[in-house]
Amino acid sequence: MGERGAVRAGLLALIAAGACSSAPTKSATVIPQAPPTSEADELARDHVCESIPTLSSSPKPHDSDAAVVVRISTRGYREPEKVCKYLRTHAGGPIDNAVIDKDVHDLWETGLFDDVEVWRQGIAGGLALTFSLKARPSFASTRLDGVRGIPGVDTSLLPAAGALVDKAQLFKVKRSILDELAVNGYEHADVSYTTERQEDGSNELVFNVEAHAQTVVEKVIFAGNKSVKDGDLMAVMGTIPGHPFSRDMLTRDALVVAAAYYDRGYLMVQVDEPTVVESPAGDSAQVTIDIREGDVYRLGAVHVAGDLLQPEKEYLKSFWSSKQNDVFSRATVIADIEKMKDYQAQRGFQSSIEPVTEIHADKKTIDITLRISPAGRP
Amino acid sequence: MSGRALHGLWAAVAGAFAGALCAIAPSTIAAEASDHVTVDRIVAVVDNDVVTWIQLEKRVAPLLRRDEAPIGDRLEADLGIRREALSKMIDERILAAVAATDHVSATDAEVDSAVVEVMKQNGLTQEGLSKAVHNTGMTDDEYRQDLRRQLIEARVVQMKVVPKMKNATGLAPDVYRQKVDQATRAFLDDEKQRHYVEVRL
Repeated sequence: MGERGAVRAGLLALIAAGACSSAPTKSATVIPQAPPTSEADELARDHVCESIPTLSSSPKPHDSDAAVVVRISTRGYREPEKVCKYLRTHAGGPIDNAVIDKDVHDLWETGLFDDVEVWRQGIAGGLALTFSLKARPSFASTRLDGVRGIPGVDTSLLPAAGALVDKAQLFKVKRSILDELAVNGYEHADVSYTTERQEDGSNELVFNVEAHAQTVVEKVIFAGNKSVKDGDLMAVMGTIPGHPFSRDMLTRDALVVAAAYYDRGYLMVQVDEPTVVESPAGDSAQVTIDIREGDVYRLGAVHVAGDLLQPEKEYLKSFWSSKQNDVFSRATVIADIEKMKDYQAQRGFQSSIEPVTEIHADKKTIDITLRISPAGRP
Repeated sequence: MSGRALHGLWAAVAGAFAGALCAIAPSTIAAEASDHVTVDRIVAVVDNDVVTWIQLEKRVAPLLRRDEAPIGDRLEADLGIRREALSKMIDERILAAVAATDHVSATDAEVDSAVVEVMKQNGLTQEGLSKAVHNTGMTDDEYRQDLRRQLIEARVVQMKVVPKMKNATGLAPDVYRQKVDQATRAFLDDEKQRHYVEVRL
């Protein structure tokens, strides 16, 4: 290599060294003492929570598992003393993973940090542990855009001005807004959030809603219902033509349609998950509910067992409103059970009454035993 | 194996290898000095809860390869094991959140019964069970917590997943078990839309 080549190689080495030294230098025993030039510099400095004096000539440990922790420090948070107080990790012994992990969880649970990381580094005389932290941001103000004219979006869901905000909370707010919009037919809505720098230098958290088309129920079709009329099923539905479409409501509707059948003795009814066909523009939806009715079941033997306050026949006489061979009705059974619970409660017994059923598919009957337990005295 | 399956496997292997390079220095904040070694950090956030590196390592320790395979193969396999374990730990936290919302729990007596059942099924004494538990790196308390978690998860599945399964009657036990697993997977995928999940592995 000629002289020019050597100079060039030296320059490259200097540039490379400069690039590497852009990160703060960490000395084995000396914490940088230079005054910080900015808040970022201050946050990048190590603040020593605890240290054991060692000679700078002491050797670095070879075996990190057995080496003694001689210094514990923190960085990344403007109140390092506060962080040090949280730590249960102490200098003077080997690394204890269980305690360190507890510290990481405790620091997370303070709600102050978005990230926590613990490093170890061999230094003269032992190990240095650093708890490196990333603080959660706060915003001077929050705003919700794009909801003018849309009912049901609650602005109180937004984080309070000045409060620390984490990603899980932002997700929760977004989810809540989407849920509220979906109940009102805006099931294709999008919600995004961003930070905007204000003129005064503060940050504003902005949630932006794109509602898209409101979906309205165009038609509800029942298929497979022979014994129960469309009108009777529509009477229990919350999904109504001309009203906003909601998938949550439709899920509930499938259950109440099944319940309508249970009240008419159709114990084996199968109500399929409703199918929804939307218009290309997404502004209307046609709903189809497929039903397989099955057979009608009648009441077989009925018993009351468990912690009874009077003979079984008295319970049946006073509270059981059906007769053997009546068509089974879930609503009637529930109402009778409630009457029994009230009776027990009036006598100082808070009871749980569980209907244990036995279905006889051959005879199309159902036997019921009402099991009362436990009758705890208040 | 079909060409499509082979392609998928190759993609998974390539992905795992790319990830393995990152996993060698598992640091997220700023491990700026080469002699820094990460002892612990957050590897996943589930709502307000976290999974840490130490928790993950404890879970995978018995599963990691200790053989004489080339280091590249070991890293690749180990990363796959870590990813799978982390995914399971995230699922556990989501099921725990569902259980908390629906007030599903397991009493001490029920955990006691489960311990007795495990001893009976495996022909173990109390000491034998403790020894087997300690061999996995768990304490007796941690084992009881794990059993409690399993009981609660089984209840959540029974309450939230099984009632929604269709055509599930009259199946052979292993087919039924497979169907429950599939339905539980679908339930968890659905629940993940409602929970904040961030993986930082």
